[in-house]
Amino acid sequence: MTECEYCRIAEKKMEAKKIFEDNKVIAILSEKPASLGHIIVFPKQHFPIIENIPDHLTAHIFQIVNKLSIAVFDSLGAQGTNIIVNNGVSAGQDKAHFCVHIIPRKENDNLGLTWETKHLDEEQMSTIELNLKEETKNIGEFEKEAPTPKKADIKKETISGDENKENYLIKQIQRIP
Amino acid sequence: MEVSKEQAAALQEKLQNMSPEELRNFQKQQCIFCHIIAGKVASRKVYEDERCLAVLDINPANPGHILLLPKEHYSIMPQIPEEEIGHLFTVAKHLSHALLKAFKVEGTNIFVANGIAAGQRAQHFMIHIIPRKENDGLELTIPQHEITEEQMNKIRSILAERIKEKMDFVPSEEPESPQIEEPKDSTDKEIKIEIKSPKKEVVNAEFKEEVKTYVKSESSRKYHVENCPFAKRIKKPVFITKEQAKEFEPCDCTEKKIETSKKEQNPINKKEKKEDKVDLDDIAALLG
Repeated sequence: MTECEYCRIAEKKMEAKKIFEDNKVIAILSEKPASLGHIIVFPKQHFPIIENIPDHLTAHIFQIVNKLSIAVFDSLGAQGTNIIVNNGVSAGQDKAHFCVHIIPRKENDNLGLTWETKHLDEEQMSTIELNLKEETKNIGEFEKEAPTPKKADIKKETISGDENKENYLIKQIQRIP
Repeated sequence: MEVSKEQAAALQEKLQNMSPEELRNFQKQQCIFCHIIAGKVASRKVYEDERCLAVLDINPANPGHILLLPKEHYSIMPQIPEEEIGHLFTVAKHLSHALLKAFKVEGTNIFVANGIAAGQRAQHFMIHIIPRKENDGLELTIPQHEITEEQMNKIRSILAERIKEKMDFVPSEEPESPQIEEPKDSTDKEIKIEIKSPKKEVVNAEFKEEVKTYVKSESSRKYHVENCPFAKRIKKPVFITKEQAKEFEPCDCTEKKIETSKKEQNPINKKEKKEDKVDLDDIAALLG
């Protein structure tokens, strides 16, 4: 039995207000929402932080997030949305399972979610830039999903299969000495 | 710069008469981030590829705060094509990883604000990647509010309708009842296994024997396929093989079954025949 709440939801061992599910991702309504319509999207497989997730799945998760965010815009009359990933305990992550928050926003809803800016001098900025560039230069090759073997479409074959032609082929075979 | 009322009105009119293409170009001209991408404004680039650019925020929330921008001008996320979204967030993931490695920080926030109400200030869509440390003084915690079951269900139904339309997904009406968890008691499990195993053996045994395809009742002369509605009504079913069935009268259902089984077999036969033909051709070529 897994202790992780989201894994238990994915395994259908726990109730949740599910609003979307496909073979990789689940979206639920937050039990303690920041605002009405606060959605949490998470992969079915257990990953603690975003760095653990394969590239193709990351892309898929955020494509779903985008669609759900459009649905929130359309149906709940939100004036904006925040998409937030808390990656790590010090970033505010409270569950050991990666998730994305979609929070519908309205003007003057007093949710906060802004930050005080800090001032850094040119030298500090340059050091940061150099350090970061060192780490980002290797970015570029993204893992793609391994192609799944295509299932033979039996239905199509029966439709396209022309019986006369089939017989003709058999006759051909029979004629060859 | 003060704008007079007349100027504002003129601008408004100009904007209204613009085609979407022109409007986009106009927005591009006004957008500081498009200028950064074009290289007209200096910036501290930390990553660039053909579709996106990552720069350091000049007013960072924390040292190392990155802005990831698509090179194409989009105001908000819903305008962005799906493929592009996938790429942007994949890069965001790698940038987050780079931050973790470069500054030995303990976490990152990936943050998107869509719309002014959500705190978006620039007209260009961007993803914020903010490095985090314990007690760094940033108040980015997501507030939590209590909500009634009723409200939740209402929102769920509103959203569900939209999602069904857009994404072709129908959530079950009632929240799915959780599956009964396996009993923790080990003795219970053992008993379960004991029940399961003889069943399996029976199944295997049936396969080993001749396949008993048809069902008939003890009294009547008609025999049926197993899933025929008549067969289901038989109180004391007797299973017979095809050989045995020859002595009795077939029900209509048996013909159907033959048809379906033919269909299933057809494609396989075809393939085999085609392969045969190729082989024969090869042989013929060698001979010829």
